[in-house]
Parts: sequence; structure tokens; C-alpha cells
Amino acid sequence: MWSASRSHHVALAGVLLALGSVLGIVESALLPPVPLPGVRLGLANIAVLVAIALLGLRWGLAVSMGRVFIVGAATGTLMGPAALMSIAGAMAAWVAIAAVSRPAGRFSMVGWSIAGASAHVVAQIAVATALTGAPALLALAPVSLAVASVCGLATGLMALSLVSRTAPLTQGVGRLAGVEAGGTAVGR
Amino acid sequence: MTRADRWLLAAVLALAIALLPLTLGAGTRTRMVEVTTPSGTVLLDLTEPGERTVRGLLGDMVLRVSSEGVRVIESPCPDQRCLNMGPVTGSGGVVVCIPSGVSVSPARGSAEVDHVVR
Repeated sequence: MWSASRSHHVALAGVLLALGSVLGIVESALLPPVPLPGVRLGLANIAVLVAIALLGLRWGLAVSMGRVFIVGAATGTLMGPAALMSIAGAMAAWVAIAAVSRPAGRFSMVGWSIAGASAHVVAQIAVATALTGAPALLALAPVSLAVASVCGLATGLMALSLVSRTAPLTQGVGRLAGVEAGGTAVGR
Repeated sequence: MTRADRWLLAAVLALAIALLPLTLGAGTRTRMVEVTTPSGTVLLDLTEPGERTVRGLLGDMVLRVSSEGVRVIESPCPDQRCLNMGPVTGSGGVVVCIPSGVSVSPARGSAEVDHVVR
């Protein structure tokens, strides 16, 4: 039976899915691609992080996978190897975030984002190596990992800032990581 | 950021630095560069400059062999990331086009080769 709270969750997840999809499409269209396989700024991950923080891991996974599907369809990469890399990266990121999000409060959304971005790029390089059969790709791992962690830091800070400034939306919806009840970001 | 966030970032960056030896060549230098495609592996001779065409999953890719190494100059992939990668020389570097299933890297000594492109 649907409750008002569940309806609110569904609506918020839909908004975040739309946000993540638009950010992913805009990033693909406007930003020049980084010459490293699997590495990008990851603006769409802001929506996924917010979904996990406000709605929980399962809703976050739904937003992440939905975003991968929509962006893949919009950019024409849905049926190619790029889609396989995107799915692997998104799943690896979700698993990493799930691992660092407990116990609650140890890592903030920034830490979630760093862990997710690092796992994302490792998974994508692994899949790319398997797809191309070229172990030389592993040579890109150090630089890709370093760039991805910095991008994860940036997107994590943006996600934390977004949640902090939309406190009326978060009240009563869910527990937040690294954010006080009044919506102010805190550090420890 | 929490203290754990900072430690995590430091750990990831330290891991990246620890993996840096992967980016270095094996110490040997070869004049051959191998191109792995869905249909097999070809070798390019760095001492013979020019343009070479290989077949990927999305169509033909054009590679330029020059004194500075091998670069991709034309590719049918949507992102065109491979055009900004490289050059691949006999001692290091890698270019990969995931959508095309093509990669370029220094030749391994024991690589099984289908043919050599001159």
C-alpha cells in the first residue's frame, strides 16, 4: 500500500533521475572528453549521491542504473561496449559507496564520492582491458585513479553543498551523511 | 569533509603513486608497435613513417606513424578520445578506442602476429 512518504520517495527519485540524466547528457555534449578511458568529471553522480543520502542505497542504485540507461539511449551508446563499461562502473561505484556508508557518519558524501569514483574507474579499466584484450591499458590505471579521485572530491563537495542548501526537501525524508539537521554541512 | 574522507583521498592517491611503475616501459625498447583489433594483431614499424588503416568494430581507423610514435588521426567512434591519446612509441604509451575495440601499444616480444603492415 502506498503511503505519502513512499510517494514522496518516488517523486524525489524521479527528480534526481532526471537531474542525473540531464547532467550526464550535458557533460557528454559540452565537455571535451578526457583522453583516459572511463574518466570523466561525473556530474551525473551528484544526483546519485543525493539519492543515496536522502533515499537510501536501493533508491540510489535505481537512480544510477536509470541514468546509465537514459544517457546511453540519448548518446547512442546503449548497445555498445561503452554501455557495458558504464554499467560496470556504476555497479562498482554503488558497491564501494555501500561499503563506506556504514557505519553512518564516518565518511561524508565527499568520502562516498571519492570511493565511488575510484571504484568506477578501476571497474571501467578492467572491463576495457577484457573487451580489447590489451593489458597495456593497465598502464593508464595510476593516472586514471588519481584524476578520478580528484573528480570524486569535486562532485562530492557539490553534492554535499546541494543537500545542505535544500534543507526543506530533506526534512523527514531520510538520514543524511555529514549534514546537520539544520542543513549545515559539518566536518569532523 | 571528515577525517576519514581525507584519509581515504590520501590512500587512493598513494595507491595511484604506488602503481606508477605500471606506466613505465619494461626497460626494453623496440621499434615495433602492435595494434590489436577485433580481427587480430598487426605490427607497425616505427622506422617506416606514413598512414595506416586498420579495421575496428565501427569501421576503419587511420593511424599515423611518425618519428614521435603512432597516433590515431581518424576514428569512427562517437567520443573521439583516442585522437587525444598517445603517441605510442617503442618504449611506452598506449592508445585505446573502446567502441572500436582497437588498442595500440609497444610490441610485446612474444606477441602472436597475424601480419605486419608496412
